Amino acid sequence: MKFFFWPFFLLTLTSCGIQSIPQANNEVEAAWAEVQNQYKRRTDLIPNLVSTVKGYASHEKETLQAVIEARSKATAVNIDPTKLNEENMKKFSEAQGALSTALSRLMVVAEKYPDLKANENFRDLQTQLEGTENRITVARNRYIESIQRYNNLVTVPPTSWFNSLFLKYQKKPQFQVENLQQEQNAPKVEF
Amino acid sequence: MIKPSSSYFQVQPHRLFWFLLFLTLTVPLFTSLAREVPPLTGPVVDEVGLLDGRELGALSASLQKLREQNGPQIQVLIIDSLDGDILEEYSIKVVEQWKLGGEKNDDGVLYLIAIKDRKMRIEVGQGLEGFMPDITAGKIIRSISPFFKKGQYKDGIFFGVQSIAEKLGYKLPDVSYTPPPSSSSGKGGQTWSLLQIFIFGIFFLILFLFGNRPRGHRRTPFWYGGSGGSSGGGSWGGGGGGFSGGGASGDW
Repeated sequence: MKFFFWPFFLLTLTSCGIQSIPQANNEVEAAWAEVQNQYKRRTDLIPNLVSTVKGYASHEKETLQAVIEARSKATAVNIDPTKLNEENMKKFSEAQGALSTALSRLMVVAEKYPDLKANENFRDLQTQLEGTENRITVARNRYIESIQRYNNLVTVPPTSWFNSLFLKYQKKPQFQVENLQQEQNAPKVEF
Repeated sequence: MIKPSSSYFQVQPHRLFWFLLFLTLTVPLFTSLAREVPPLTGPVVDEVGLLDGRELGALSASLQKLREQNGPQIQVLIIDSLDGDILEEYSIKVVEQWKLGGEKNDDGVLYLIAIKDRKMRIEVGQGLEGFMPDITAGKIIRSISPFFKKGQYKDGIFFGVQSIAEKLGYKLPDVSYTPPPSSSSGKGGQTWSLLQIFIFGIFFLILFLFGNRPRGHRRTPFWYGGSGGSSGGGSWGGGGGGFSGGGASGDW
């Protein structure tokens, strides 16, 4: 009997979550850093976009101003990967959602200016914006998957037993997309 | 009493069950081919038949050689229709399943063309984003569009792949695109592939009724080692390169 004890014990030890839960936690933090990275990429594009549009559509002051304001609000919200709670997440996704709305309005307005649309710089910015929106989507999906994996380990036996005995990690909130409608209408301009 | 026995066509109940099961499983196959990711049979996967055997072989061999010379893993995928899928979502699904690019270098590129949707995309691996940022990919897409608009699919594809290789700092081995004297239409391939599907379907049907188990996937003339995205010992497979969603899409 005793002969089998140690192998059995070691086997259960490795599958109980002692490795997988901290690993999953690290993955979540890395995935979140990537999400913020891609959102930042978007905000970095905006000054150039605003000045290009201004060159052709200077009368659209309100729309341009809305984008500038939304951008500064969004850059102000940064979440430390170790502090991913529901409240922070809400703030973050609200700020980014507002920016998405402002951006899509700007792109709709830009449609009215054929000279702007034909401008090579604007077209490049459009490509960059679309690319960035796509990267945001990819990063977000991967983040959502990482949260799911982590939550599964923390709530589903047998790893959940180990967790409640030793690690006592909390389940993490899933990414809620505030202003879902606006997010879905985020600038994907097609000509 | 002598029972007439049809030794050729005996439909026993359990066979009937398999036959009906086959129908229910393959009817979606006939109607929505592109929703799933097709098997990775080589550097150029052409479900529509835009390229003929010789062209496909030449381009595939070239891309294979490029890879062997430690160049990027350039993949071409031509599908009939996205069947309602979003281009960018499908593209990421493909590169992740096929694991394009090396694990360390993330040097995979997918050139995806959806014929019926008139959409295309260049999906750029993370390691190549320095050489091919979104703007560059966008410019390549826009330079290919005029070819496709005129129905010059083969030219567009060769030109596109060549441009991609060039921007990444490589010359396509053994292949060089030069504009043809006259435009040629590549659209004949479309209806032919539908016919191929029906012929295959009937073929499998007959096999079922005779009790043989057909293989699940269709063979192309060029069978590379490894299928379904496995990178095992095959001569063309992905190494699990990373993609962050960079690249550009366009239509024509």
